Amino acid sequence: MAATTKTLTRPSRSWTRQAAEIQERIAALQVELKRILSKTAPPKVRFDPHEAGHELTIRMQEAEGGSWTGAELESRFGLTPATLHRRRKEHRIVHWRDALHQFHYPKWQFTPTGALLCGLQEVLEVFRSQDEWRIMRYFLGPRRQFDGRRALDLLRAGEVGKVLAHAKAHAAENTW
Amino acid sequence: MQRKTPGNPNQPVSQAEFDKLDLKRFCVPVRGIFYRVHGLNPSTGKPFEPLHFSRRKASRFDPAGGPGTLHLGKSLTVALMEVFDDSWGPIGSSSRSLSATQLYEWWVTLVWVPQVMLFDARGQNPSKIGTDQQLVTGRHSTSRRWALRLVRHPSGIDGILYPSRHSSVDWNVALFRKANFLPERFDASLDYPVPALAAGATTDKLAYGSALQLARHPQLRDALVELEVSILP
Repeated sequence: MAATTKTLTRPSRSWTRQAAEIQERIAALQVELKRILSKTAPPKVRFDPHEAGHELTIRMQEAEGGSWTGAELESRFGLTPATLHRRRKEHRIVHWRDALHQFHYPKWQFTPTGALLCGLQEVLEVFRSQDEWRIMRYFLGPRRQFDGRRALDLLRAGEVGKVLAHAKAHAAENTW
Repeated sequence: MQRKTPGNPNQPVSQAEFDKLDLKRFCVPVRGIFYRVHGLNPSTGKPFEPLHFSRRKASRFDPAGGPGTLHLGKSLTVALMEVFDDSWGPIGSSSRSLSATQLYEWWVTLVWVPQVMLFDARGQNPSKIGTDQQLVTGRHSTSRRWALRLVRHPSGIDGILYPSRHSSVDWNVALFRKANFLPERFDASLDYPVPALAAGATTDKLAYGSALQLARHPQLRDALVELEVSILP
């Protein structure tokens, strides 16, 4: 009787071992549960540089009212296909091409009379680049050197010198 | 009372005064493989030489009066940030991008740096030599004056290990042109996947691998994903 009481009040070594085993099993179950839950959790959104770049081009196409086609520029400002061809070749107009290789000319580069925004042509002549989206990016992207403003904002504000100095400095390093 | 001037590191003391510092206490031995991002020479259509010890006053630690300084990044990610981050905007903006054409205009070369002794510009060390973290974040012209003090110090250190201004977890090295690890040589083992050590790791000379266009670099995608930089078509 005394032995039975002792068994009930003080856990034997086998009980302790069993309790430890149960604890180990619970811990293993917790690990397994975490693994299963992590599999069923929604996957993290992975950044895709090309996809993100494509989305940026769409936003740039639509920025500031979008673009005019060559035909629209001819009817609106009398700019003939030959004039536009020459301006593109001489880096004197901002343009981009769609999937059908049709040229588009962003509206934001023109004044209401069809002239180019003051300073824009000088910047284009600094870069002398055919990299269409890179040129679009230069004018439409905010820059910390401009206190978060865009080159386009500065040109509109008449701060041509500031944009030209920036363009020249970065053109020298090819980091514009 | 002189006010603090954030954004502009303080001027160094005279060379004679600076030379009294036990500079070696703040130096660390460094060796390993580093990344050099270099551009295209428009006049030749070929990449610029990967190992260029600059005295052009064009970057943080390349004073005109120095022996020439080679800047290297510890990873492709930080090397890209050193070149492009000043023109990148916040995530989601069109300026946080590289165009597909740009990826063909920039090149990456792996560089083996044998064991060199560098002033470690991390932690409290800038304070202990009399300046602060603006040495690595502030105006370049003043940092270049500090570089002159360091290169002319009698301890004969080989360069500076410095944290990137663009990331608190990445670091670069500015290596002064020193005869002890020159002439540099080509080492074909400096290729991808990046080896733990260059084949010539037993030598004490600077080595470089083949230049690889950024567009073809096996680590480019991971670096751009990490930095959340888009690729424009």
